[in-house]
Amino acid sequence: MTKKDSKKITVIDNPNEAEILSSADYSFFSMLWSRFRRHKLAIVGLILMTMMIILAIIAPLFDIITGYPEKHTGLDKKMPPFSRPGVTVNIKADDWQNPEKWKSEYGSGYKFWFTNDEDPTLTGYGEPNTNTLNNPKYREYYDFNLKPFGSIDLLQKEVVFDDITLEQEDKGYSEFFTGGYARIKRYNQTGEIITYAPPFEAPDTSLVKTTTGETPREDDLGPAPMHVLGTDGSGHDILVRLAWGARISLIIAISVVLLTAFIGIVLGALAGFNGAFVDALFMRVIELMYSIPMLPIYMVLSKFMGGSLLFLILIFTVTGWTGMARMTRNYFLSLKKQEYAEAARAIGASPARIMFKHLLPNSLTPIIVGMTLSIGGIIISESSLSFLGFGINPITTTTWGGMLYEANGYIMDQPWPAVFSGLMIFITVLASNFLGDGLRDALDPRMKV
Amino acid sequence: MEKEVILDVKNLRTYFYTSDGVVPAVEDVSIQIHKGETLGIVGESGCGKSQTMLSVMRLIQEPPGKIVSGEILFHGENLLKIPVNKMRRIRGANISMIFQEPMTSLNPVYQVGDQIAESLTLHQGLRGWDLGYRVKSWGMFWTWLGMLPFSFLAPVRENARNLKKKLSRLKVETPAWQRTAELLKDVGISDAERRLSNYPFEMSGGMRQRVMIAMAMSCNPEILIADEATTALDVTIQAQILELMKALKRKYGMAIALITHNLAVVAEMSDNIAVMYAGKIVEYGDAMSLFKTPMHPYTWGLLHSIPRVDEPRTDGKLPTIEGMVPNPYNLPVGCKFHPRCFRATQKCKEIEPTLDTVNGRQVRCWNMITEGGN
Repeated sequence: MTKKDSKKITVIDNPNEAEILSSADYSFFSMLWSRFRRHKLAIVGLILMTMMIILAIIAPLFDIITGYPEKHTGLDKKMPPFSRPGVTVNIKADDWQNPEKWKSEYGSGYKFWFTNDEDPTLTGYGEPNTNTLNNPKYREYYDFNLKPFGSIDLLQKEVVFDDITLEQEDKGYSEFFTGGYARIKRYNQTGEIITYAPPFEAPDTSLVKTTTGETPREDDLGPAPMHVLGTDGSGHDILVRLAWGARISLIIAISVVLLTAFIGIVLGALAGFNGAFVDALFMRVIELMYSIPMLPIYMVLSKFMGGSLLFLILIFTVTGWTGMARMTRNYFLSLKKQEYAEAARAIGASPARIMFKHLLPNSLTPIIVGMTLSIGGIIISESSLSFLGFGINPITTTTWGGMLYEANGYIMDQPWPAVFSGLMIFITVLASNFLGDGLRDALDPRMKV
Repeated sequence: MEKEVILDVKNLRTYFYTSDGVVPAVEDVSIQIHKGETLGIVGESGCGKSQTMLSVMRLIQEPPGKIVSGEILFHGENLLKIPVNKMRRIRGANISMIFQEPMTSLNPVYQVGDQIAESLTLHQGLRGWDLGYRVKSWGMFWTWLGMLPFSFLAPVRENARNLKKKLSRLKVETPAWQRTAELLKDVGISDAERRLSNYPFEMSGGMRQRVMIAMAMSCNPEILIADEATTALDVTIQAQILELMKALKRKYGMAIALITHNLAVVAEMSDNIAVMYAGKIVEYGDAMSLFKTPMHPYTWGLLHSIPRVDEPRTDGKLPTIEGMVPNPYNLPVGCKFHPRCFRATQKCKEIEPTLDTVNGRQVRCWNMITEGGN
């Protein structure tokens, strides 16, 4: 005996209760939902898609929560996930030149962020090197044993960083959970800043010293927010950018899907319902558009028109309505022969009324499924266009494809910007496909799940 | 006393231009429909009886079909000459049609009440479901929200239920729905108010056919064309539907054009009968006398191939009409029926007979069966 057979039969005494039950059980949407719910992957897809939409909607909140606005470019570049940026410690030039005083004040063995504006490769943290500190040759810049970001071992020897290319050093990513490190803002003799400050407001020296006057440990330092997913090559926070990228990707995908559906349905309905000349004309146009390789066209057009959001939506719509039109046309060709279409004509309904009131709701099932499934395709196209550098301008607008494009240069060394943006594209496309599959199974009465 | 002629079809020709050749589906057909009377149109499949009536409604698929010539006078106005939008106003309002397949003739996505009300909305401007549109969309929003599996959404579900009730009240209060409920009662559906919001799949075949009739009847048409309206139903339901149509005919005084290949149905319902063969009328006259004394061999054959309970049983085979319906692309020369006719002569093979009037009946035959000749 299967589970279904053992279903209990409830006897309903109260007629009102019966009415409520029947209206609940036989409503179209509740039946749809109950069938949809059985499809586990579809539920996963629905949840993921909803999360993406919520992410896109609350993207501005991420600016506030993380403290790193979308356009913020820090000096903490290519930081791995869960890393905190350095904490600023302002050290006056006098103190700097007096390492003993400096050491007594901040403690020995303390690590500091070391950044240099002129040479971005000189980013890392290090300890004071007493040898070089006293060497006037290195006094201005190279006072630290620098540990390049991500490497396991300190560079022990006294180094002249001009000669170092960090890429050559061994790299490991054991330091994912780096605590708060001090960042030094250095002044030279005339009070100019040599080594540069981080972009956010950070505790000054008074905060570094605890209230009890004890030497602060690493953990006590700095409330600087964590870069949960790290930073990319420009110092943007990746998490924040992903949220903003979701916005753009979903705006493009949803508006293109709606626009192509609108155009495709209208043209496909006209072609399928009228048949003959109109049908032949539209089908030839569609075949013509299918035969044009679209990627070069996108590239050339976006090069000339400039990559703006509206332009991208426009171009995807202009080239993307063909699939929907063809599908609608096929359904209308078979549906217009249905008896209820004839019956509608016999009660004096106009062709437009028959098309859009009688036939369209009947062909809406495959249209909805097709729309859901095409979301993934549009996101892929948009991303690949951006990845090739022909999409929306990555400097002004954050997109997932644009992030991939930027991460392309250092994908072997710092893979996380590429990984996370790629993962977002992957998840969204997968979610839209799961959702489409689930909708198809739930909406198609012939498929008994 | 001759009743008023509502519909006068004169020399109608409807041809289908297919890639294989021209099919004369309707060839020189002239019929009259009188006020409050029933005209039965009988014939084998493909004899053009449906196409004649579709031509009257101007519902011929064009292309490949085309009404080549003839006149269709409805109250003296030629329906073939009037513009399309005027024709659209006549369809459903003055001439309406019931189709053969009750299972597929109703749109599966609309409630039956909406479908009946559509005709009223189109022709009489009675507003139906659209009045409750705002309530409907909000109700849908709350219903969807309430489907989320959270217990704290219980008030949302309650709200959705209330809106649904409000919507049903709103709907029932509109004139279109009241008239629709009245129509459903007329066609013998019990609990009409509740049935209005049923979808077609919730109804049986007989009920759907009743809904179809209600749809056709909604604007009190002068002519109701029933295109094999009872063919798909079982005999009990068939009898009920025919009885219903008779009752409605008496109540509203409309004329019925009954297209069927079931002679029993015609015998029960019709005042006049037109027998068609290969696109042409072969015999046309008063029902009683036609059944009593068929003059065309084809009619004779049809009537004699029905087994009768009131006649003594014979051991021989049941008489049939030999042969098959002629290929429409390649019709025989002369009388179209002569290859199957037991009275065929050389003249029949060469010259097409004309439609002659004998004793008030039109017969297309050279050797018609008369009282003495039989």
